[in-house]
Amino acid sequence: MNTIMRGLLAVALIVGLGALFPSASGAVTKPSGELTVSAAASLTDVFPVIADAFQKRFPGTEIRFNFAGSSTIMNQVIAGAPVDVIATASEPTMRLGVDTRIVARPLLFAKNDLAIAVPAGNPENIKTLTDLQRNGLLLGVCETVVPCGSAAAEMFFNNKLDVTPVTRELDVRSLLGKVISGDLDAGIVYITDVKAAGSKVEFIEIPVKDNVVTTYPLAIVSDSKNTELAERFVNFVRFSTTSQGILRAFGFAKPW
Amino acid sequence: MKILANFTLTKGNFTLDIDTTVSAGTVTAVLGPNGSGKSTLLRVLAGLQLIDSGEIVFGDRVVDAAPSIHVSPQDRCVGVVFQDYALFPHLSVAENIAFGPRSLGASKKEARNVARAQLESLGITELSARRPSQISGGQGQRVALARALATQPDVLLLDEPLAALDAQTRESVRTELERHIKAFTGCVVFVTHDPLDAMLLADRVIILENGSITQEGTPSELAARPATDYVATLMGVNLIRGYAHDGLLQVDGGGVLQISQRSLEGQVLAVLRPEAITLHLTQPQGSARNVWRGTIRALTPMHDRIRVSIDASPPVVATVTHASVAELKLSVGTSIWVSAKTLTIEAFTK
Amino acid sequence: MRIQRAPLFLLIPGLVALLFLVVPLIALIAQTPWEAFPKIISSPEALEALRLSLLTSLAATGLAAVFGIPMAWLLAREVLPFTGLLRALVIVPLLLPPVVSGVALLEALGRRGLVGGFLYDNFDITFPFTTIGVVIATTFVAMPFLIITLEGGFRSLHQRYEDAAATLGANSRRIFFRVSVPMVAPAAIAGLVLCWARALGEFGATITFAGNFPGVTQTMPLAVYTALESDRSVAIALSLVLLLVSVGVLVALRGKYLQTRAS
Repeated sequence: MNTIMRGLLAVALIVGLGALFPSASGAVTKPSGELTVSAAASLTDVFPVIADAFQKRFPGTEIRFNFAGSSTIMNQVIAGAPVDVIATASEPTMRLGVDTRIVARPLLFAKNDLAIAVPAGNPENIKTLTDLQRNGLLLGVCETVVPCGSAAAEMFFNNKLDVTPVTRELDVRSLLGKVISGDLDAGIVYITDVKAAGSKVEFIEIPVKDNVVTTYPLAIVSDSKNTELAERFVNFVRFSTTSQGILRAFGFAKPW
Repeated sequence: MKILANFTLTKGNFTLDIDTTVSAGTVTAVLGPNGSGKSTLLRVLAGLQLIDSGEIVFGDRVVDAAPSIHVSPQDRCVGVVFQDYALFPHLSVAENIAFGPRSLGASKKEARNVARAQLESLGITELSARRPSQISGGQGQRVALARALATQPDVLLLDEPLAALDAQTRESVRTELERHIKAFTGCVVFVTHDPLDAMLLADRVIILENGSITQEGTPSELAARPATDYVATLMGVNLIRGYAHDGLLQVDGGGVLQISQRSLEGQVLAVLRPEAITLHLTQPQGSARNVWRGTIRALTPMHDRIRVSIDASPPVVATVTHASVAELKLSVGTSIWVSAKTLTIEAFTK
Repeated sequence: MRIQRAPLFLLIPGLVALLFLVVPLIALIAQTPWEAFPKIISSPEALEALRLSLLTSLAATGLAAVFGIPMAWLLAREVLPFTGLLRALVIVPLLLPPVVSGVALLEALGRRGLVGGFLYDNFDITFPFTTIGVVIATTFVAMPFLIITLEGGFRSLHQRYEDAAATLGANSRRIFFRVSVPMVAPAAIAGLVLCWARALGEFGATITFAGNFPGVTQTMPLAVYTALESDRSVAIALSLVLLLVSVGVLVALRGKYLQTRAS
């Protein structure tokens, strides 16, 4: 056999071998496997829908969720919980993860505004933020460690309002539950929570100039066992029109 | 104050049917086998159990009249000594005794005085500060009695007062109990399964079998004329049933005996004391006596004699000395001749 | 040494149980930020939470005693019809997740609740978001402990003693307080301590029914959980305080009441 023939044979062998081991060649591959995503409580309704869309787009993938308060999920990840992606409702909380090198390169993917939730029928006839200062009104907020709560505190401070909440709930869903049941006259929650509750609750919009904005970052956890799929998911949430469309439908605004 | 008790009470399959009177100031023993209803009867008299029908009268006061009237134990003025005494473990002996007077309204001081008096009267002053867990069975019985008497009841009820004691203690306690019972002015009704208690302590005995009274009378009446097998066994006598005619008793189940009561006719009961029977290895000769043959079924030692159970027509129990057993070389299965003088058989119509 | 007399098949699992319960406590103590500890526990929030915890847990135990002791007696003597069913209902709060208990209490006593609605509309009385609400929530979850422990005690109390007291002229009140209750004292003490311990540690029902506000409804467990969201070392320090208070009381009681039992 002459040299040219040997050369062609060698190339054929390499290509053939390359075809046998597709991932080793570094070509574009189909994503697969499982992902565990820890997300803030206020993403409880929207994230599964986005995950469904992702799983339809990439069959063979499975996304599992863990919803809790932003600080709780960050603490869990720092303590070593086997999570692949984390999405918080607070940039400072995410920064904690960055500082401890638990997460890398967070991306802002959504934005949320506060609203005043009231029971169906608005029995106390609340129209503005200043109405919340009324004597005897049962107002509920979230604890300041919860993003919704710190946003509420900031909003009251900025607007120089003197309000006395009767409770500081540990997560926004519990707060909303008490508004829906009528045990609270009003609660400061996210506009997305209000939309999710549908007709069970009414809400009063807070004008943009008085409102405080919450931004949502999400990031890949450095210790993830499936960083490739994690990256796919993060990009999908942030950049795909499907995902942003879902977020819009639920009431989240663009973060930019 | 006399007691009239005429009532029925049904619990599941068991019915208690009572119709009796306890005369004022007397001591009555209620004897019966286990499950006969003795304790239930006591509980009814104490007011701790409701009756289904009938009435109970203490003196001139109706304490139970089913279904409407029921005087509670608190208001009945009864003193009860329970089996195992039921002394309050968290109170001292003195406090136990003072409990009744205190409950009835006495001041702490008055109650303490009553307790002291009772302790003295029963000779147990030194136990005053002790807890029930720190005293013996015999002492407990006295404390229970003192506690019941401290309220000055009209009626004293005792449920198997000596049952919880060992044989030795029982003797001395029984004597003591006799003294206090006799000193008590009201009625005393006590329940026991030991006929000796009844014989020694009671003026009158009621036999309760399976919820009904089968015999009532003085202890000697019962011993002389037991009405049922149970009473006979209790009194330790042989009870023979049969048909009497012209001085001969045709025993139910086999055998003929000569009896001295020639005028008796018809179905009779006859009592033959075990001590009156003599045993022989060979057929004894002679007149004016009953002689029949049997086989020894069992030999039971008693404290100073031996009880010999004999299969025969009629079957009997005889008591003989240890010496006789040895002399005659008696053992289970030995063929033996039984002899009883005509005069020793007491026949009577029921 | 008695340990040597214990058979191995009992000793080994027993020691494993001991380790299982004790090691996390040791770990907690080891993680305590000792330098910051005095500052943390003397902060107004911490003291407030501790005060609230002690106040409400004692109140809950008191309520449980007043209503639970008679209930235990009624169950033990089988006075009421359907005793078995009633006993099962009494145990329900033990089986429910505390948050569910809180929801149930809201449905019953909340502003629009079955009973709460009536009270609010007619008398302007509300329980959620009040300290009384905390007492209600903790009583609800803790009382069954007292009832079940004490029912066993009353059951084993022979009827004979109460009968004897009756024949001695005592009315039912005197019988109950002078005979029945003293005689079940060990079971009563155990039941009350268990009840108090449960009340002290109660979280889910409290936060769901009474809410979370410092000085009013934020008991120690709620303060700990809140701190956990922001500063874990504070949470651990507060937990340790709760632990020390509980252990202190239990040790003090053990000496006094287990001795009485033995005699």
